[in-house]
Amino acid sequence: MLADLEEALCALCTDAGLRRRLQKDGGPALAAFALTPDERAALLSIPAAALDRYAGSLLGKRSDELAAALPLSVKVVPSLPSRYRRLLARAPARFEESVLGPGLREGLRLLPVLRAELDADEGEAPWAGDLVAVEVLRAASRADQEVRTARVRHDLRPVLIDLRRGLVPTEVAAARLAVRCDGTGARFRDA
Amino acid sequence: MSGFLGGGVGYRHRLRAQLLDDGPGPRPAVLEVMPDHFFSAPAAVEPLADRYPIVLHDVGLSLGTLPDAATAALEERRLERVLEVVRRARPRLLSDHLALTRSPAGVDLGHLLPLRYTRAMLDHLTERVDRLQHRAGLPVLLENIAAPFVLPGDHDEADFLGRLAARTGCGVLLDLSNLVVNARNGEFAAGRRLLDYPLSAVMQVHLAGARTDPTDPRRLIDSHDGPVAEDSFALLPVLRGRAPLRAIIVERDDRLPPLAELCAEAARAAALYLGDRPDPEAAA
Repeated sequence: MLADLEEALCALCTDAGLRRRLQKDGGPALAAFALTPDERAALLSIPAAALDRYAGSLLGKRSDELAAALPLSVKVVPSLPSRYRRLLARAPARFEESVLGPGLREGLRLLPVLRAELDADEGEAPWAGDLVAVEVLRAASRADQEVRTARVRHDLRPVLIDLRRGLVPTEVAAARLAVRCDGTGARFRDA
Repeated sequence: MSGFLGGGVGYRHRLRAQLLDDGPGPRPAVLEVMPDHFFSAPAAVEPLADRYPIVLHDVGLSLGTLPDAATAALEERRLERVLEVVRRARPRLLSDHLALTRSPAGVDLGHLLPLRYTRAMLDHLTERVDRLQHRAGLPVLLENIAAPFVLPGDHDEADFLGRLAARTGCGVLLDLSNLVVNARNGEFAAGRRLLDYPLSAVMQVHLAGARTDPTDPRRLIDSHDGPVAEDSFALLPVLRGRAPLRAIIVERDDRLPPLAELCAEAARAAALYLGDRPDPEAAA
């Protein structure tokens, strides 16, 4: 059935485990999909290297889009694209109707996980998770005029100014602040 | 060549100031706009439409997808946004790809995935293209993609496009650079394959840069990050007298050069199609 063929094809492009099972087991790996013999044969005819290459290009394209949407965060967290690729490989993106570009959509979708991961990583700046959150929310709100709020644990105001000047601060003051983002930017106040 | 608007470029926000500048310098004869660039502020397309003929090019219709009810509802809301841009941009053409970008249940790939060219897919696309042409009130064009692999089916791509055009009256956006990439990766001759396409339905051409795949130097990647390759330019004269082109668009996404450089490529492509003067680049 056409819809099952498409679902199976998209799964093969986004699920490395399914691709491995297909290589190892062949047709039975596709048992979850209601495929005609013809459709199953068509999927089995795709060279494994081509599928892997395409799947890798999907991850690369999306992480490039995320990095382009979050230029300040990438300066502070160079590992952000690779962290995102890992998360995306585990949880493929879902189609959603939005005025936001793909990088920001994905930044919003995975922000809670990314932020928690950065907060827990002693190798990253302690304020890296806060920065990613503020940059994602601020850019998304500028694009769609929606109000978004968050709480941060560091005073990012001088950080944002420094980063725009091309400087990466080493010391950032701890502070409990509430952030409100709207179409005009981000505003901080004491939480 | 009546109806030919000329050579143009793909709009990118970074080009906006140059495109709307009143100063001297070359300008594209036509501008290709992607609707999702204007979803958040549709009115921003109007100054461009006041100055340039517009052709609209989407990457998110996912016409090949057979959506479930939930995905169809989301698609309908997205289509409303596209139609809002259509109303404001007053485009001459609307195009998307012969591909899918999401699964029926809504897994979003974010990139183009090839279709299996079967009779069932032809029926499905006939219905979707008919409906889209009716809703948009515009000729819809389908573009050949740079295919990462080919799924065996009932037709090849060129034959499938011909049948779809005959059934729906839709046009073809022929990406010559994608054809060159597919020819290199699939080890066939682009010039010979070009003649298999329904050239009388080809209303628009795309040209873009490609580069060698760093993981496999035998392969090309449709990278959109450099000048148009000579192999792609060389195919344009074949379309003269065969394809009723309305526009030739140079696409560039990364490493964007000044507008003048893109316009020079677009003008060269238009001249090659029209055959109205020798190609200075080829002569050099």
